[in-house]
This record gives sequence, C-alpha cells and structure tokens, in this order.
Amino acid sequence: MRIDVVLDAMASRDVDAMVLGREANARTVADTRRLWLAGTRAFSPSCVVIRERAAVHVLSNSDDAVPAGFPVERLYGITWNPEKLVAALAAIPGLAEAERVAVDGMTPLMHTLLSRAAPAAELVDAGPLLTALWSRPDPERAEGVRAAAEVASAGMAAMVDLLRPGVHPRTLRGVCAQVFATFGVTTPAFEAVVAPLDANASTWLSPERILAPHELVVLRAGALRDGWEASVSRTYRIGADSVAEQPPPEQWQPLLSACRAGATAGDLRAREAVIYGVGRGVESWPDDFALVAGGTCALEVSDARGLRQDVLLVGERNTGLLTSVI
Amino acid sequence: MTAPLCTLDLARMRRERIEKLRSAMHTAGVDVLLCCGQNNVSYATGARVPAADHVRAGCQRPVVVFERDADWPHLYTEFPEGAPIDLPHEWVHPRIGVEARNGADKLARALPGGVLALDDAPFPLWEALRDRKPLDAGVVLAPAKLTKTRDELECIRQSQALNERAMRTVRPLALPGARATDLSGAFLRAIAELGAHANTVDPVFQVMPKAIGAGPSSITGEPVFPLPTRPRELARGDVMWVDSGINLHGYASDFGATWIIGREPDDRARVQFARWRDVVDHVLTIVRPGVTAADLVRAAGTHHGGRPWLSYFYLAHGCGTDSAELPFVGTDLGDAFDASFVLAPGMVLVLEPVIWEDGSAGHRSEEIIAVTSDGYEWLSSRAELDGDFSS
Repeated sequence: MRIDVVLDAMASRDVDAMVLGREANARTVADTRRLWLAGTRAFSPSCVVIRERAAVHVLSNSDDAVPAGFPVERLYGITWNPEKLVAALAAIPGLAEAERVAVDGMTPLMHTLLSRAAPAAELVDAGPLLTALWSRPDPERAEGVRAAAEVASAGMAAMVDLLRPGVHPRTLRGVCAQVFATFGVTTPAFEAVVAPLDANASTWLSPERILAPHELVVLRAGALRDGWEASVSRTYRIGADSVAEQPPPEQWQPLLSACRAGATAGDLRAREAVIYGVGRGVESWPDDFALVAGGTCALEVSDARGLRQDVLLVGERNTGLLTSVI
Repeated sequence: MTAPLCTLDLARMRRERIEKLRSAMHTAGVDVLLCCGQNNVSYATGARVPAADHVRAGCQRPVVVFERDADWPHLYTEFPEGAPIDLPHEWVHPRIGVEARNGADKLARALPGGVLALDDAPFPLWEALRDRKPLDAGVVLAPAKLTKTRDELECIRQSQALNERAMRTVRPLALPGARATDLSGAFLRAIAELGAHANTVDPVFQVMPKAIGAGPSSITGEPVFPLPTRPRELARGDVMWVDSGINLHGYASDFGATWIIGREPDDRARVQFARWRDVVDHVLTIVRPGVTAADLVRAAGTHHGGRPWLSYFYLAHGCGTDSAELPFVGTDLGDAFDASFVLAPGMVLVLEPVIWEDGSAGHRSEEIIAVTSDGYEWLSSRAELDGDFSS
C-alpha cells in the first residue's frame, strides 16, 4: 500500500504515529516479509509510522524483511531487553512528541514502556484507521489475493483427491501443505482442516481419527502467498468408494449476489453470512463496513446440507469468485 | 531417539499446571488471571485452537479467566472440541469476541474483582480494563512456566522427537537442484502425518552466504538468521542452516542443524562443527542446579575474541508452551541478568551457539536438555545432528 494513503488515513483521524504489533498490519502499511510464526503473540512494537516525517520504521535485523530501497537506518533490531526497546523507540524521530498514537494491541508491560517512549501520547485504537485503509483502492490487492487463491484452490483439490473412507485427516493436511510448497508457498492462512459437520463442534479442528463412510466433512484450505491471503471451504459426503460435493447452501447464491459494492457487512451478517475481508491477512470488518469495488473478501454460508466458503473479488454489479475447486 | 522420561499423563500435567498458576498467583498477590494469548490459554487449560496466521489467530482467540481459588479456569472458546475432556463442561463457555468493543466490555463486566493480571489484549479490551490497572501476567506465568513437570518435559521430548523424525525424511531430499521450499513442503507433510498438532514457524532452510558482506544487509554486522525460505535452487557445497518448530500437546520443539548440500563436509566445515560441539560440551560440563547463566556464558568461552553465538539471540533459551521462553542465557539483558539467574531442576535449555568464519560460512545447530537434580538429561537426540559430520 502506498505510504501517502496510510498518511492520509492517519491525518484524517489526527493520528501522529502508529505503533503496530500485528504482522498483517505491518504487511499492510510497510509490505514487510518477516519470518512467519503461527498464532497469537503478545503485543510488541514491530512497525512504527510517523506521519509528520512520512517515515516507516520496522523491527528487523536486515533489509531482507522490507521492500527494496527501504532506508536501512529505519530498521531497529531484535532485543530481549525492555530498556533497549524503549531506547530504540525513543530514537525514532517524532515518536516522543506524538500526541496521538494508534496501536493495535497492548500489554501492561508494553503500556509502561510505550508511555516512556512516547510520554506525550494519548493511545488510541488503530482499528478504525486500519478499517479505512482496507476500503481504499489498492492496485496490488486483487492480483495478490488472486495468486493466493490459486494456491488455496490447488491445495483443496489435492485434499479432495485423497478423500475417502479410512483416510486420516492429518494425511490430507500434510498433502495440502506440500502442494502449497510446489508454488513456493510455505505459509498458510491456517493449517488445512478436515472436520466432520457436527453441531457440537466447530469445523476448524481435524479429529485424530480416520474418516468413515457416509460422513459429511468440511474441508478448509488457506494460503498466505507473498503476504496475501486466500482460503476456500467445501463440504463432501464420503461414499463407500467415492466422494460427492454437497450442493451449496440454499442461501449461497442469493448472498453471493448480494456481495456488491455498497452492501455492508452488517446487511450480509443479518442474513447469516460470515463475511470478512481478506488481503494482507484477515480483515475484521465492522458491521458498517461497505464493500467496495476491487475489494476482496471471504464469504461463508452454511446450513444443514453443508458449508461453503470462497474468496470474492467485489464488483460494482457483479462479484467474481477467486477461489474454485475442480 | 531420546528415551521417554515418564509415562505421559496429560490430565495430571494439566492439574499440576493449575496448581502452579495458583501458587504463583498467591505469591504475586493476583486474584484473577486473564489470558488472551493462545499459548497461555493452552498452558492454563490444555485447549487447542487451529494453527493460523497472526491476525486470524487473534480473531479466533480463546480466553481464560482463572480466579485464584476456583477449581478450574473458565475457558471461552469457539472450538469446544479443542477443550480437554478433563475440564468440566460447565467451565467451557462460548467464545467472547474480545477484539471488538462489545465483547471486550462484556468480558470486562463479567470479570471478578480484585487484583487482575493480563497477558495481552486487543486494544478494545485494553481500553475496557485499563482503569483496573492490570499487572502484567508475566508475574504469574513466568514463575509458573519456568520449571517444568516431568509430564511437561516428556511433551517437549516427544515434540522434539517428532520434529527430528520428520527432518530425517527431509534430509535425503536436500540435494543439488532441489528447491529449498520443496524441503519445507516435505517437512510440513511429514510432521502432519506423524501427528504434530501444529506447525509453529515457517520451516527455515536457509542457504548461508560465505561472507556476511554478501548480504542481506545486517544491522549488527553478524550473519542474518533466520530468514523466510525462498524457492531457491540448491547447489553443491551450499551451507544450509535449518530451523523448525512444531507443537505437540501444547509444547514446542526446536530443531536446528547445519547441512552441507551435495557433498561431504570439507575440513573447514568439520572444524567448525567440532568447535561448535566443543562450546556445547563445555557448557554441559557445568550444567546443574545452582549454576548461573553467567557461569554458562563463561564456560562457552570465546571464538575469535567474541561470544560464540549471535548477539541478537542467545547462547541458550528455554522452551515450553513458547518456542523461546525463560531461561535466557547470554542475551542483551546483560551480564547482571545472567549473573542473577540460577539454574534449577526442571528448567529447559536449548543451546544454540554459532561458529562463524567469515568467508567460509559457519555452523549452527541446537541441542536441548533439561536440568536435573545433579546435572542434565537430553530432550533432543545428538545422533540426529551428527548425521552430516559423523564419518
């Protein structure tokens, strides 16, 4: 994303500095490519944006993690020492004077440290600012998500190929990851899932048992390719020696048709859709978020017959599918 | 392969962890522990969640509320099938969406009174709680996690053994002409099939430059490691540093090795390995309760006048529900910290010296031990590292 777009969004909210800890947010504002780690981690400043100087500072020991041309003097290094972290932050020109600093998380320890590095600052939620960025046109977004969708779709197809009675879900999970790697992609949006459709469970954790004939199972695959995300889910009935994709939920087509520019996430959620943005990772759209042409999102619809999720490219009139399962 | 340390009893392990938390809360004067970090939730309850990218994991995060004198922690999760069977169902609740204001306010209102300790919060939750002036949950979690029970150590050993076994299937594929990302694919497939509960880090298969000046740029002037694996074609003689981590029963592992691609290690690589082994063995010679981290640093000695590890990491780190946690040895926390840190039985040390010879790359591997009452025991298998250098 262009820095002037980020700075505009900061200016319109009177934010002097952003201090971000979440990797997808750092990818959004700074196009970082740091080593992928699974799961949540405690908030720690890993990307700082100073509006007045139009400067981005990134936690990294090397320029390998940032786009070509990124000024090396704006990298600050890994440290285990809170005093050194405070010193590194305090050395970022403009942070100490910042009056409004937007952050995307907090811990009690980091609150103490950040209060020393930016003593004048009122800390505010970066969420609304990031939401504004998600709705801005980003020419790289559609192609980035489309490329990730190609990988997610291929991983899903490979899992479907192996789906049969007696197969272990973890076998499919492994095959999905290996197919991703044939694209040079070693990072998932989430590890692939093969989960029975069960009212007492989510469809996000694969059981540690083999699959039985006639089970209804949900398959999920999600890839993170060059920092862009896409995912796809389908439901299958396992036959004695074949599998059959369940027909889409009844509301799938009407909801897909409703995913047009101008529709809000809240409108769609009121109709039982699960909808969120996918770009540099998951975007937790608030209910009043209006879909924009050129935007990309995940739509998930489920009923008793099964569950379906695709990634969509939103249009003014027609919305296209970026994911597919052959 | 390492030998089992005990017959693993996960329910016993979870009960003992709860008592350790309770004890640490008493000591720290904490009445309520609120955990939003998934590894801390896993420690408090044993709950499993999907392995996902950082922000997605945040959106799906489970939450734990533990009152010091309660029988069990309350678990709020979107994945009830991930809750252990020994956690009574009345303590398992539907998810609370603490990433948004409504959910954050709801949780804040439901929290019991008293001194609150918090590990990590989405900002809306922080706003809802900051008037309570929460303590950092490190005051509870760090002492509870610092020493491991026998079951915890056995989890780490099994996690490491699985990681090593997967790497044994990958090593023969690391040949000239192969792509580094193909090794990642083979590894990820292998750990899934072997029953790992999750992969925790993009597996690192990094071809090291012969000299630091060959790039990428390094702000410390040292080798840059670890970097994301790229679809680079391997060549004969490449020096590859390998690093991978998986999760089993909520516990991390840490495999680190140096592989020479397409040929036997040359004399220089063997000397580097021997020097690396020498550093580890000097440290192991003195490992026992009562020894300080500073003693370990001294035992490691120097290499070309400097410390034989990367200054931005450590000579050794702990490993548990997080892949790098206390104890830390030889970090930039400094000499005074090292001198004050005393080893005790049940602590885990992942030793990761680095021997670098600028112009001819270097050696980096990792070995894991647990401190016992009179020395140490192995959690990683030395034989798995020696493969490239045994002949």
